[in-house]
Amino acid sequence: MIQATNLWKRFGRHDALQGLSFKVPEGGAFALIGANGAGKTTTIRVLMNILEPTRGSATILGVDSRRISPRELSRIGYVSESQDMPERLTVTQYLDYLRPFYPTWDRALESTIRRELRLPPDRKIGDLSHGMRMKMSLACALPFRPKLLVLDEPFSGLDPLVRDEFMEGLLRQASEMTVLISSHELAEIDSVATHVGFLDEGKLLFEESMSDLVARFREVHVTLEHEAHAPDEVPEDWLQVRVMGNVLAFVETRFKEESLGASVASVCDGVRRVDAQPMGLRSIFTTLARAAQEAKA
Amino acid sequence: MISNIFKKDVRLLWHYALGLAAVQALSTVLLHRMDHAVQALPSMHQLQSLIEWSALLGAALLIAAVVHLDAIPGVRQDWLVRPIKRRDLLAAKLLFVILMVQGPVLITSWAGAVAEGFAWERSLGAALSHSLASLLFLYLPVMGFASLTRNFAETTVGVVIGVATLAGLVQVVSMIPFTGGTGNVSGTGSGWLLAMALGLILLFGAAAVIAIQYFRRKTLWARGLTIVTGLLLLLEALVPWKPVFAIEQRLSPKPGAASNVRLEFQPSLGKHQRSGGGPPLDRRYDSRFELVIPVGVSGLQPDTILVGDLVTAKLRRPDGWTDLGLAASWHILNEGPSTGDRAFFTPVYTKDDLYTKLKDQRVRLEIDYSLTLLRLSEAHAIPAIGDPQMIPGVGRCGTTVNPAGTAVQIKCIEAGMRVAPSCMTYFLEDMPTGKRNPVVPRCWPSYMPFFAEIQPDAMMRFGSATLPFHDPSGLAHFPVDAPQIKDSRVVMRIYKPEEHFTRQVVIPDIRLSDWLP
Repeated sequence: MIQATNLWKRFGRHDALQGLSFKVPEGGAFALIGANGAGKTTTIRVLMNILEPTRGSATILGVDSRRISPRELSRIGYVSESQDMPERLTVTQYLDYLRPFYPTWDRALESTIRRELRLPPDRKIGDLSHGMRMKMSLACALPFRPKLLVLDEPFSGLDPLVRDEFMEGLLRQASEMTVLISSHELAEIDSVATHVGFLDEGKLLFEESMSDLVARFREVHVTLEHEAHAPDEVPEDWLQVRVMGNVLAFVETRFKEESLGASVASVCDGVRRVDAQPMGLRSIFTTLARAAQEAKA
Repeated sequence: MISNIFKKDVRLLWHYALGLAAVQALSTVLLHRMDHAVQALPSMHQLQSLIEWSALLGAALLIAAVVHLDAIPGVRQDWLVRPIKRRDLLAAKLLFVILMVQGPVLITSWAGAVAEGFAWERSLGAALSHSLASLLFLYLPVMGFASLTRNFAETTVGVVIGVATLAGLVQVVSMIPFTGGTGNVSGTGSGWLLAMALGLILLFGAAAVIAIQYFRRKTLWARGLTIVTGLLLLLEALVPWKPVFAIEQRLSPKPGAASNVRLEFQPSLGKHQRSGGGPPLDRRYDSRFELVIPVGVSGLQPDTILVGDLVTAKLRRPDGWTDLGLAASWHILNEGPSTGDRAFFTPVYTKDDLYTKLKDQRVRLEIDYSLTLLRLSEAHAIPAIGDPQMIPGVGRCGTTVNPAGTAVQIKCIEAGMRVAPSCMTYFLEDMPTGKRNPVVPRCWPSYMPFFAEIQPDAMMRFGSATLPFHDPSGLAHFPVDAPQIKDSRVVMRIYKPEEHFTRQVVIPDIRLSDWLP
């Protein structure tokens, strides 16, 4: 559905994307995560042909991103916090304007979405709150049943109630679509994403399925018989190694239940107990982000 | 899709378009009133000028607004992620400009021409040609410029920077010591050639910018092209006179018509107190040293006018040639039967230091004349007092007696698809006696073979002249005076160009101080 190969994007002297390669499988929900400025929005803009890549290429719906035509765009729903809409049109007028562009536009679905998202039909877009505008943007992206839904920071600045409404609206309709979502609001992504890519300063640090990611990350607590010391040589897979009394804690990034004990024993002696807890996406993200910062420092 | 985008733009901007149409209509009404006023008050002219500029500015702002509704530069615009063909987007914007900006101009111009008494077909033709000229040379460039920016703020900054840069460059160019008429083409009858070239540069530049923006979205390239176009437009100040006039010569309607015309230095005419040539064209020669050289003309056939389009002069000093200041346009009327010999005085301007240095030396002076011979083409007459009359091939001409009761004023108006005559002469004639007042010549040389000027409406106003018939002080006596005026008529004679040609007068040995008035 989407394939990026060695994508580079340079703004002046700054490389916003540095050789990005990833693949979004059909029917999947790919989450691009990363800190502010990591290159998530730039990646999406390159994929949507809003920006041209400096080097490399990407295909979207099987077409080179630089050659996306109205045919492809009529099958792509796009929601972005930074999207400008005609402020002096009302909600109804704007939907009336968009409808003829999409051959597959479903008016019944449009009505349902408008009702569910509680959009005021006669209010001008310029008078909508930020949350309402995001819901408006979603309401414009769903009624034509897109094959691909691209969401760029859709939760940014939304209060929890609106965020829930947005997610409900999205999840109800998005079951048959491929979704590309960029965000640093990881709690919401956790429930949507099937695949995840972690971006840091324009580089994709990893890309894998959500299940593999969650399976290989563990918060490990090793209780020792004596006071713990930071090991002289830390295995590559361990991140955020810290010591608390007789407890050695770290994040195992290549967790295998059968080999964890041996791995710990090779570094520490006097192991009394090893606890390995699964981690949420948010914890994985913060661990990786901190590790990246430490590596740079 | 085009209609969908167009309808959206109309929905968002209809009230601005309506306001602009109202201003256009007001402008047409005011022009109509001025055309029919005995003597339009200065305040009417000022108001008309204000409304005209408001209409132009309003049109530019409306065009920028419709372009900015779906701006090209930037990454946040909604249209970028919608299934909108770029050519449809461009077509919708052009449609808006044609229907909502140009449409009211066309309709009011048409109505204005019909109200002036011209047939609706002719009026429509005039309005269409006027609209086409405005679209190509005014609105498309505005559209191209607007496509480089995202909003009014950016456009305003761009305009300010552009105007300031151009003004600075013009200032720099004006200080370069060009010679031989360079930079003075636009003020002459051949200025249309330069205007046409500049118009084409503007048109192709704007079309290329629009194409780059709408089909490639390469704003940096387009901005670069805009700068190049702006610099090319500056070439106006660098265009030399001779090649331009050489083209004009090739376009002469009747080559060879001026073959008998000769010019020569005639010292026997003596000094002249005033040249009557007006100030020098080149302000670098804004000097008190204006030499006046007597020149005789022979070989002029009856009913001809000789127009001096540009005169350049140079003198030879012991250390080389020096260009002198340029003389402004002048004309010699040879109306009626005559020998064809005439004389005139050519003003030549020198810099103060040059004159002081050379005034008593013997030098060689060469004066190059670029000339146009015009011949009487047609003559018409209308009553000195009476209703305006439609003259076939000329337009509607009307006369009025001025409020002081001392002169007949005449002016003509034409549904503008024809080039205004370059020269006309007028005189008052008492029909019962055949007495005539002195001939009043008027020349506005423009040798454009077709009409393509951007004006506030589709009308061409020309031929205005004041024909005195009474001197309240009693010093001047006119054959046709106030008592005869009701039985008199205004005869107007129209002269058309036959040949553009050059002549040189060489004075091998002259002392400058001899010819200072």
